[in-house]
Amino acid sequence: MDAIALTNLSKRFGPVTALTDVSLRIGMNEVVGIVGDNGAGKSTLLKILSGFHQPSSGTMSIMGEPVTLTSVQHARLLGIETVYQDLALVKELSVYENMFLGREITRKRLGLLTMLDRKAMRETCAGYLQRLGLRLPSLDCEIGELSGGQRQAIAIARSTFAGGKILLLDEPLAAMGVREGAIILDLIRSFRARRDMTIVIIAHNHAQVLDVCDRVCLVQHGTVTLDKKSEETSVEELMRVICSGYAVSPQS
Amino acid sequence: MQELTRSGSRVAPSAAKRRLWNQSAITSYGAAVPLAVLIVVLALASPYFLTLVNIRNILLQSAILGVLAFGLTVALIAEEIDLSIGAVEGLTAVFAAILCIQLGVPWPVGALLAVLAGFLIGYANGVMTTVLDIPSFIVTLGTLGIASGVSLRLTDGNSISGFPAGYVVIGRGSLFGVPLSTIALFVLFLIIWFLLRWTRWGLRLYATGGNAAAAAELGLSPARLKTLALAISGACAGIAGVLISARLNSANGSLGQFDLLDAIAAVVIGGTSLTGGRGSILGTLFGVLIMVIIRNGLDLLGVSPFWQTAAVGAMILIAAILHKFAARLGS
Repeated sequence: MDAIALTNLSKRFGPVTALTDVSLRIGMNEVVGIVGDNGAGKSTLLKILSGFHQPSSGTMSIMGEPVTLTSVQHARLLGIETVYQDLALVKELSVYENMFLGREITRKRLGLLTMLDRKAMRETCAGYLQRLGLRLPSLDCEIGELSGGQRQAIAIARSTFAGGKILLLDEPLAAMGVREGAIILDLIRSFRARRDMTIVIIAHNHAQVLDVCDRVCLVQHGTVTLDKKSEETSVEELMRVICSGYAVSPQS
Repeated sequence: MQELTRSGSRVAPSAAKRRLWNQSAITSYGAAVPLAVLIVVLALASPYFLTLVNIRNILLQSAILGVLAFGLTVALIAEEIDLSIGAVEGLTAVFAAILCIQLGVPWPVGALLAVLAGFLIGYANGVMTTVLDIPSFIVTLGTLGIASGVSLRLTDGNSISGFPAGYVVIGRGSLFGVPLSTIALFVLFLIIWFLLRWTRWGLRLYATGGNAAAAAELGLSPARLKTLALAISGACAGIAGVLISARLNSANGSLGQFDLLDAIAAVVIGGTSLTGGRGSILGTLFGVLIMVIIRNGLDLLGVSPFWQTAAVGAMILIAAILHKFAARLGS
């Protein structure tokens, strides 16, 4: 069963065609990188997967079920979680407060008062981050004190902790140094090693994508022009195809 | 939620360790240091400073400013400001006087209605801010004008005096030597501290003030949280109105008109951020005590009231600079 299957998907914004006849299958627990030049349509593709945009034509299946995503909330209910570049973290709150914001753990006191169970939230958070192999100075530090890579990692951890089965990452490595990026790459590798999460990554750095993804899809002018297993292609090939503008291989 | 395998997992000690020194600790306790210095200096400078009479005086003066500042803290955490608190304090005082003195309403009912009136004005501030999307600075500037105008009109510029004895006790009575208004302040402190620190609502209020867009994305409703924050601020102003009119045993249209700036000063000295998401009710309590003790101490030392105003102004600037440095130190 495929986690995601797109068939002849198109998206038009008025006169502008962003995606034309895209067909793409992403297997269960596969890690797929979407690359392509600016304006190629990869962000539009991600926004359709996340429920933000609705396709103009074509069909989509999630976990083998045909669906028409109506909103981001709808996608979330189906286990699709998106981490955008703005991360949606509150920098004044601590790591564990951010992890649980909107679904806090509480306990009843004296049968009346519903109190936050900070201890349980802290411990659950510590256990989960540890399982992901994430190391932080402290769970009590505010998000604002963390580095860009750590923040991104927390945003990803929050999405997967929410019960997401399909994780969409929009430029998780943008504007990040090598060491910062390594935190995210390690996190993606750890999901990949456990095979319990389908991940779609939009990124610009081809070497990093080939490094952590099972497969890479190149989007050009609104269509997928290359779709290969990472070990069967190379940075050179991707660059050649992008620069030449020719499709090398059809849908595999 | 995903199943967690907690047992037998290797421990990442750095993450599990609890850290006490962080930004919010600086916000909460930062103002305790200058407060302590102030108390020691004044105790050495004036033999009267630590007398029971003077301490009682400080507590009495802290009560009204404290109640106002607590409400303002809640509003500021939600990234809203309430400029109407002083005027609402005056209006609710006049409202209570009209109810209890002129209309003969039983005083407990009159007091409760005055607090309710404050709540409703605050709620209206909140609705205009969130539904009509007008900055709270403008909305509450408007209600400030309306409230002070209405209370002056209702009293025709005169005082209404002669509250029932029970009402006056709220402002003048004490329990085991502790003024009742101080006890009221303490109870309010506990309630707001609990709300902010131990309820879902409090956590979400900080989130809303810190990053309203993120809060909305997570399914919270920032508009509702902000509205309630401004309503709480209004209710606190109503409580202050009851306390001041009970202590004076009268009300007039200009009550509370100088309290707004003192409350803002106390909150800022206490470390609450004007940009939202950061603030502590304990810090505000320290800020209130600093404000009251500076005035009291300078009085005891015979410093001219003109210099006192300047001293309070200087204190605000010093506090702002210290918090800036402390924030840099913390990160």
